[in-house]
Amino acid sequence: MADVVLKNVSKRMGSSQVIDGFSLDVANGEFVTLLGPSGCGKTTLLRMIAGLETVDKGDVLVGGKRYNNLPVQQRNLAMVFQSYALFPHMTVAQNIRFGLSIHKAPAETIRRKLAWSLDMFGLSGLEDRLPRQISGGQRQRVALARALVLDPDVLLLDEPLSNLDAALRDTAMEELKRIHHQVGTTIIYVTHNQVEAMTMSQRIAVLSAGRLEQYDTPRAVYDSPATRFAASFIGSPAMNFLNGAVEVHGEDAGVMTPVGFVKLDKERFTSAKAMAGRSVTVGIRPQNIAYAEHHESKRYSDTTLSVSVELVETLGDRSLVVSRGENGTALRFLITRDIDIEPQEMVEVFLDGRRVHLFDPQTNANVFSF
Amino acid sequence: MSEAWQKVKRFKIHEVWPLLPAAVYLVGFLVIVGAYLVGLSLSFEKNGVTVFPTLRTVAAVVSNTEFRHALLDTALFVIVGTPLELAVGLFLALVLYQQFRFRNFVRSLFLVPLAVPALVTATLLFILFDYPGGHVNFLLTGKYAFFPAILHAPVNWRGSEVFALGISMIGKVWRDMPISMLILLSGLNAIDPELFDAARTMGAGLRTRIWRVVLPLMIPSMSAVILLRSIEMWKEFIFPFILAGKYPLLGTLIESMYNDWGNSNGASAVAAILVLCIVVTTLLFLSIMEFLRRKLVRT
Ligand SMILES: Nc1ncnc2c1ncn2[C@@H]1O[C@H](COP(=O)(O)OP(=O)(O)OP(=O)(O)O)[C@@H](O)[C@H]1O
Ligand SMILES: [Mg+2]
Repeated sequence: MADVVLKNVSKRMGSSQVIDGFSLDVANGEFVTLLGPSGCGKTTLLRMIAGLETVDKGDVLVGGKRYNNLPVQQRNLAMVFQSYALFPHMTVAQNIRFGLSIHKAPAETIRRKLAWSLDMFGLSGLEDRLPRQISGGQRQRVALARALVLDPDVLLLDEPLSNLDAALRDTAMEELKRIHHQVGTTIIYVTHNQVEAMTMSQRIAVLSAGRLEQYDTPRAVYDSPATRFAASFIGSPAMNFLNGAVEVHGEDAGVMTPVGFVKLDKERFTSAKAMAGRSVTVGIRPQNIAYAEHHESKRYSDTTLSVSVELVETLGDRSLVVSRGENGTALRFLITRDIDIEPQEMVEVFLDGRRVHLFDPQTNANVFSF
Repeated sequence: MSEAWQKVKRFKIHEVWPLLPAAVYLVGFLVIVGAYLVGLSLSFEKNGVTVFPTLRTVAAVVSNTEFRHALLDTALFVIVGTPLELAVGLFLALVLYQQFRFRNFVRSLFLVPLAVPALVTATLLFILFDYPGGHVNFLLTGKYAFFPAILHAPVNWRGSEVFALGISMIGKVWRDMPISMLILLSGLNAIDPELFDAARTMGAGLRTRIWRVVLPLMIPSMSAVILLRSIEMWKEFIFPFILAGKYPLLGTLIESMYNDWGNSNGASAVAAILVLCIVVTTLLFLSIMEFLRRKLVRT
């Protein structure tokens, strides 16, 4: 086991700067997720840590040791690939034993570890099957078993669940958490799926175009997104954004937006007042906009807006309402399934002033955190 | 009712008639020519009287020392030449598998031997290895300023059995190299490169990756190369015909028996034996590859 530190690493591929001055520290035994949209450089980063890609600039440190020029074979890191990369000509047992036999482990150790991994990953009875003779979920478990029998310092996982169906993915997530709990290996997990990131990781690194947007606990990333990108990428349905300028009306501070004056929380009055006149982007999650009828007691910090309903999408237990405020600005919010709203209807909604985020329109940084 | 009978009942002629011309063609070539060949081999002609069927022609051919020598030489030609073709093809395929500048250009360059008629290649080799005045002799005896003299006197390359057949083999391997290379390259390209990455993260060095990942996965394409190339090696005609006139292989022996000795029965018998050799060695190679595949995948 070891900690991983990336110091300002950069990587150019062809004409594009794939990774741009990226820094990250992962504590020993921690489960960290690299989360970002497709093509943002997650796989490249993972391959740089594994040594499969060279590092142009910056340092990769594992367990305090500089790894930049250490050959892949000498790094005690295991990687599970997006395609699993199981050897198609070897059986499940042969795949799992491959690394051990390269490290010239004694026969007794190999036997013991094989038995342990077959048991741990529920693969007993499949040891003599070829990869093409087992299911996708089983393949993913073989890939994990093959990586873990080597007792790696760090386990690198590249979207290991992306080939699984939804039900299997939920089970696999629970299993991964259990395995991390049991073996305690440092895990760096790559995904573009925020649910996986939220559910499993201790910290999430949000990436966009090869740069780190935010690195914090799942809760903090959700509650106080550091940038507009982090705010829009995390949370589902996506956050609403409105442009406006901070204004102070007597006792109330707020933002004048195309849909009206959005009040800010009283507790943050002082800091809001200091920003008066500044233009900002307001961010508010659909979860923090309530359908007025549903809340008997409107809080003082809530803003009431009247919007016209455009579309109602069923999400199962809830529905997403796409509506338009004055000037046609789109606003999306959630309602419970027992509420009946029809398109074209005019309704009133409350914006929760305590849950409003403000971003700088130029730098996109959060300027008004909780 | 049995399944086979069901199939027969379902058989409809209009579903297979487009295959008919191909079938006729195949039957024409395989059955008629084959039967004619076997018929000739099993006939013996003496004083204008033909005896059929008899093994006298076959017996005469088999006891002929020139035939025995040619059979041995051909077998050696196949045994040395086929692995050589495989090795050269594999080496080139591995080189072209790497990423480097002008890769596509180099690959097209390697296809040139295919475009040169074998006769031209053979004639070029004939001129190069001529005695006493060929370029190779000039080179080795120090006639060219840029190369030191290694030999005192020119060598009669085509007069020596080993060299004559060796040069033929060089020509053959050079000419066939692109096909072997392309088959093996496509085999390599079919392997998921992440398998090599995975092997590396598990501690496998280059040797382990080649022996335990590349080669087992290349067995299908290597078998194809060995199969095609060994058959070609058995049948080889043009290079030994031009370059090793005094030391016939089976392919050239057929020609000389027929044309020089006017013995069409004997020539047919040699041809039939050649076909037999091909069938036997092909089956042998296939079983060896199957054995190797089982050996290599064991961990
Ligand atoms: N060999 C290459 N040459 C040039 N650009 C490359 C090369 N490989 C990758 N890239 C670029 O680098 C960027 C990052 O690629 P990477 O595979 O790391 O993305 P990713 O975040 O893993 O995406 P995904 O979620 O789709 O797997 C992409 O924009 C890609 O186009
Ligand atoms: Mg990727």
